[in-house]
Amino acid sequence: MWKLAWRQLLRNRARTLITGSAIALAVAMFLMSLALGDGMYGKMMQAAERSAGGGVLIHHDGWWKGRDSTANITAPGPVIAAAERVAGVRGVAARVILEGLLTSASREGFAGANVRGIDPAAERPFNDLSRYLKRGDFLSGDDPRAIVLGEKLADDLSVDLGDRVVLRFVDATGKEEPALFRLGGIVATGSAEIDRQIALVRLATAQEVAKLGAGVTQIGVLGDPGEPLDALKADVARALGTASAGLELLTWQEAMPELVGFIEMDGNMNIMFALVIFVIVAFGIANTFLMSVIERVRELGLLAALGVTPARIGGLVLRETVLLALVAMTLGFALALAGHAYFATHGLDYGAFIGGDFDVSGVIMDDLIIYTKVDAPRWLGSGAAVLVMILLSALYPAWRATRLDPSQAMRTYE
Amino acid sequence: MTAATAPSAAPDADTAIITARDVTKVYKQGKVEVLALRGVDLDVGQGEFVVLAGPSGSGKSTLLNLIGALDHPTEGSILVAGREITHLSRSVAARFRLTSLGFVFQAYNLVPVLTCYENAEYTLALAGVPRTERRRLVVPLLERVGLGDMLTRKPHELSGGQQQRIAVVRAIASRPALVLADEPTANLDSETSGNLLDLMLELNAEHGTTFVFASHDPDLIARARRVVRLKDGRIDGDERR
Ligand SMILES: Nc1ncnc2c1ncn2[C@@H]1O[C@H](COP(=O)(O)OP(=O)(O)OP(=O)(O)O)[C@@H](O)[C@H]1O
Ligand SMILES: [Mg+2]
Repeated sequence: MWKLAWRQLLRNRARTLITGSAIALAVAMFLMSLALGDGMYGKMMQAAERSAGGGVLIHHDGWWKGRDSTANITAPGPVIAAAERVAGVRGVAARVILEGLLTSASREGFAGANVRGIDPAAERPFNDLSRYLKRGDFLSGDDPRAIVLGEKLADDLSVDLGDRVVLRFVDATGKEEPALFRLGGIVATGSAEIDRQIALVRLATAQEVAKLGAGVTQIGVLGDPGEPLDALKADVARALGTASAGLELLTWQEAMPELVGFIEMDGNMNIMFALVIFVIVAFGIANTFLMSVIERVRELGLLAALGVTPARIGGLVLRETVLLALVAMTLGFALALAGHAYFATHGLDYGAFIGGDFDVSGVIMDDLIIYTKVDAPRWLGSGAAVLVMILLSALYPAWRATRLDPSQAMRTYE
Repeated sequence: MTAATAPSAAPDADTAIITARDVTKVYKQGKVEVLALRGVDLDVGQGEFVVLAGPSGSGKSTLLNLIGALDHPTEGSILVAGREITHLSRSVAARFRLTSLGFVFQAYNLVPVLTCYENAEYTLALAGVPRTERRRLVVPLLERVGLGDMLTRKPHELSGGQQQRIAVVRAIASRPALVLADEPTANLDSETSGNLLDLMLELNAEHGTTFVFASHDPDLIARARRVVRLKDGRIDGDERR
């Protein structure tokens, strides 16, 4: 029976080739999109981690939820020192976050803003916004009151380099205060959403205006990209020891679950898209095999007349499908592996497709060279799912074959 | 050598191969009912060589299909080799055909993707006969019908007569009790069909295999040992020679 199925496929070479290559290509594309999706997912998670301010964020207990300006890390020194000692840590940055209302001194515009006091050198391993400096300098001039704004935010406030801006906020003692800054630099990331949020001053300046002394709001820890965040968090907590009293450690995924959800949804959309392609291919296969059954009414009828049971006739059609599917899927896997071998080392420049950077709900994706990642269980699982889908698509043609009336095969002259 | 001179295995009328009683077949085409058989009684004993004759549309093929368990009669009963086949399910009927019957059709007898030899041994292979045994049974028969050097050819590389001979070999290779043939010579010239007929008569004589044909072919009718004439779905004459 296998022999018959095999010869049947070889007999109609053109059709077998077309159907087979459709399956092979669809499988290859499906697997490649999985591998690219996984590579992309990894990239996005890393970018999200960097723009969140680190894999693990340390705040005064309750600050993240309550944003109480009086709840700060009063003695950051030992915390930073401890975090820096953790193996694999690539960066530790202390920040002051001042939430308030920014206005231009001329009162032409205002905007709610998070002004962040940062140490530009310490931020470099994180999300180094100095790369996007468009005009002025990035907190490197003489003016201690310099502020760097995103281009859109500066526009909203109608301010230009050298203009003064005022931040009204609540300081560490709980008093509402105005603080005066002078626009020293403008950054343009390419994302309007992000450019509306950026407001940066020097760490020391922020500490001074907020009456924090040596205190900070947040300490971000960036770990090794391969290390799971929970492990990093545990490592940091262990390194802190008693210094962690009164502090809260959050992984960025705990701090920003919506962002994780968004990135995962993006990945699921890709898989859905690939599945839709596959359902279409499955219909094509069903159609091809149905045609091949209808064409062979006489031949299959002859087999029935000779004594092949209906079940075995259906089995013959299924066998043809399985053979074709297995050969084609092997080819598809080979193609996908070849593609993976290339793109895992050379990378696929996704940016070239979409024309530059893009951002996903506030995360700038600037490094868009995607390296494929193969998740072996997922590949094999998808392969099995595809095989099942192909078999399902062959069920109807096979069932039709079992319904053939052998007495009609004898009436060949009619 | 022809069957006329061959030692003949005497038909054994006591061992009934076919017992058909009051067989009626009605085809429904939409609202129109076609009465293809109207109460046919037929007894065929082992070793007989019977041709069903009669004008076109008289019901020859219909009767042959019913005897071959390819279709169910509307009424009546048919026993083949002692077995009631009237109400067999499709798969039981298929197994019955495989083990008890041989078929030769008018055309399209062979599976195009199988070679000459593979076609000839097909039903044996289906029945699970081991490979060497199949070779032992089939190759001499193919040699006998003059196809010994064409074992690996595909059907489309053979003439119509050669194809029919392979179908005959396939039909008798498993030594069935009964071989049914619907117009096996209709597509052949008279010399070729004469040779095919010789072959079947020889096999009938040698093995006592029962043959039942449906045919218009005057040569075939002339050489049959029994001619059952059908007309309008009824038996109109039964002549033994
Ligand atoms: N599947 C069918 N559906 C409807 N009517 C049918 C069917 N098969 C046969 N018939 C009708 O039954 C009658 C007998 O047909 P059958 O094929 O048995 O005749 P036949 O003697 O074999 O004729 P021929 O010599 O032309 O082969 C005819 O009137 C035919 O039209
Ligand atoms: Mg007929």
